[in-house]
Amino acid sequence: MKNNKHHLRLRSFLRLCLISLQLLAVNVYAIAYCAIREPVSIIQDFFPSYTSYQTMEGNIDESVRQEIFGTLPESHFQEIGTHSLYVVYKGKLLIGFVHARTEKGVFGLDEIIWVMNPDMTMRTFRYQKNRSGSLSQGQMQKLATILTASDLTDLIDARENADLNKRDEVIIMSAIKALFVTKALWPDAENF
Amino acid sequence: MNSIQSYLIAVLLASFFGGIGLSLVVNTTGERLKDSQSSVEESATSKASFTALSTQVDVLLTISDLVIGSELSYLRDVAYAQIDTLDESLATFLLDHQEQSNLIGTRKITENLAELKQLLAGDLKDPKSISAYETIVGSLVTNYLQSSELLEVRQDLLGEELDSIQRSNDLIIIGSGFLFVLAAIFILFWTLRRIAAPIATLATIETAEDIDASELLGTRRIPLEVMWLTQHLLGLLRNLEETVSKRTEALKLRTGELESQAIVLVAAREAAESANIAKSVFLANMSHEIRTPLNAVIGLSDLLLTEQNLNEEQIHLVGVIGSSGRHLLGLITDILNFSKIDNHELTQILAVVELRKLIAECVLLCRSAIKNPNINIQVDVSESVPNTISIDPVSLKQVLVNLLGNALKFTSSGSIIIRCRLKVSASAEILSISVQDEGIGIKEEHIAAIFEPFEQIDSSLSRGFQGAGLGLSISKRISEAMGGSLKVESVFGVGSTFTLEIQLGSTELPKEIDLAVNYTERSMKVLIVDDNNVNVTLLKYMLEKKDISISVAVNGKEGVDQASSKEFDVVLMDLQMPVMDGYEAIRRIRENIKITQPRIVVVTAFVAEENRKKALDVGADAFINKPVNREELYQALYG
Repeated sequence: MKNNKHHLRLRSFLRLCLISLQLLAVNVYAIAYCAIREPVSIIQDFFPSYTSYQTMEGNIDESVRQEIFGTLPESHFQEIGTHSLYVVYKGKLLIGFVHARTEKGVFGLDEIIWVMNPDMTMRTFRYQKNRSGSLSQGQMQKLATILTASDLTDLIDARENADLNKRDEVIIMSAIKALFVTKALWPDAENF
Repeated sequence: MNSIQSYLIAVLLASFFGGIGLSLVVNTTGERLKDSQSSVEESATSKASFTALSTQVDVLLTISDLVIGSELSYLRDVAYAQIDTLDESLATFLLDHQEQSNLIGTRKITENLAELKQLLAGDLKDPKSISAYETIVGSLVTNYLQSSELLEVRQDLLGEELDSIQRSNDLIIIGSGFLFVLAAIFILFWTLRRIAAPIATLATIETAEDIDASELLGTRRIPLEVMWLTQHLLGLLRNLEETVSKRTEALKLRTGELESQAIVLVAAREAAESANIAKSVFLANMSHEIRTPLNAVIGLSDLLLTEQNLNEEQIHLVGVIGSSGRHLLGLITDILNFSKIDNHELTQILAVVELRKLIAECVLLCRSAIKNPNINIQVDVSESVPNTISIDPVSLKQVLVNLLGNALKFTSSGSIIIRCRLKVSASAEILSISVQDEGIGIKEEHIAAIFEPFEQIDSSLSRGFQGAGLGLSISKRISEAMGGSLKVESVFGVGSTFTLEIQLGSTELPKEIDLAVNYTERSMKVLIVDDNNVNVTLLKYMLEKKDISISVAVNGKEGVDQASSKEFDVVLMDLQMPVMDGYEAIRRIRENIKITQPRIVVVTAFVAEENRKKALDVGADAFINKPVNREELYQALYG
């Protein structure tokens, strides 16, 4: 029994080392891809008066990733691949953007849907997949205060100066990346 | 009725079994506490181990999310490997913490892992697969969290149980302490009530009747030993009261006897005191009555000797009269002195005395008694001798005069030397005054008896050397009264040396020695106040050859009157006179401011020290004893 326990521990340890090496060798987060599973329902929820929306897809290649990483080194931005942006209209009027992002959670990857205003300020967010636990009312209130109507500069400033816990910081950084990626891939998005 | 012994045994047994019981309880509680602490530690360890699995779950789900979301099927192998790792870690956890296997849902987690592995092997593009994936992962996370929560709850429960056991333990200890305090208070009160209180009651008992039988002997609540003590004390008290009663009766009888004896003794003492007073009065009166005629005998015989027209036989006869008078005077003086010494009346009145002057006065007194021109008196006082000393001058003078008189008595020719030396030692200064004569000396076998009273060396000598044999005895006793000693060294046929030694404390005055007559004759007016014609006549004869104008008063009142009406240089005042005595007369003269104050010299046959002191206190300037010595009189007049 005792030898068996020892054998199990040794195997588990060796396997964990192997997995860790593989994860380091392959940039697994770089290949994360996130899409809104039910975009109509989501857009309907956030923009009840919308009349149409347009799906934009952009590719983040290594050059774009480096650009973002150079500007936001603390973001550890490693994503490469296709990114979707939903542009929402009321008639011909641009009324907002919807973008989904994958973030590292407590158990695996969480997915956050970001809703942005036409002037590229943040409006609100929602978890599409959440394995990190529900946010408390107070925490939601605090994040809403920071996020609502904030542009990229405001959010970077808030991240540096506001009193944030680890979960808050992940969410704020996700918001910054959402705005940054959108601006990087679609510099004239405000004119859509 | 119980004894203290049985109570003590009961307390001992109770303490013994109580202690054993308490030890068992404490031991049991301690075991429970130890087990509970062990369970809490084990629970904390298992919780920590299970929490460590969360990393593996996280890694697995991250990889599987990547597989599902990105369609990168090559990550499947990595996911499979992670599932196996997690599976094995769970197995290891269960082996390490078997107690937790039934508590937490590890089996469900294992099933979730198997389902996940199976799902990852299928078509990942199928939306149903994705939905199933989320369901499985959700179940996996939920099961893990629930297990983790269960472990935490169990840890909390065990912690609460440990706290509860600790509180129980504390309660047992506090309760035990409280019980011991209660027991101690009970024992204290029991001891006070059953032992101390009865003994305290016994301590207040003075008689057998005080013992309250109903309180002490009648009650069954006192210990046996206290009852025995009470009974014993009762017996003792009864015996004691009986003994005291008998002794009291005997004491009353004895007191009566002693009171009778005391009455007799008081009466005897009063009789003795009366007799003593009568004796003193008798001696004083006898001294006065004898001295008064002796004053005339000696004085007039001395005056006759100064007459030029006496033939040799007449001179001889007058000389015999004078010497007989002096002998009689000496006898009286010695007997009075000896009587005083024998009655321990010789008190020492210390005064600062000029020693050399005192010696000169003694020589002067004795020089008048020298009839033999072949006798020479020399005085040798060492330079180291202080000029003044603190001593009773009367006593010292009496000893020196006695010794000089003794030397003169037994020396037919040659020198009498008075030597005065100071012996200084570390502890004291001793004054030594010796009187050395060249007389007949004393045989060695007689030296021991020389200071005995009424002792003459040779009865045959009494014929040749008159005296009562009291002089040396008196001198020795006075010397001892002064705190000194008197010794004699003598060689028969060569001479004797008597040495007086006294311890000193001195007061310095200028060193001067004057052995000569220390006065200058001058013209003066003298009032003689005396009721005795013989005395008046004698004084007149003594003064008639001097340039002195004499008046006479026969009592004190007359003396005061004359002193008030006429100016006198000197008043010679007797003390015992009719109408007004000399003390009152002196006092009135001194109090009368209209009188030009004369020098008052008391001339009396009352020679006691108290008479001298009283006279000086009322205002006298000098005091001369009767019979009057002419030199002393002149010194008092002109001095």
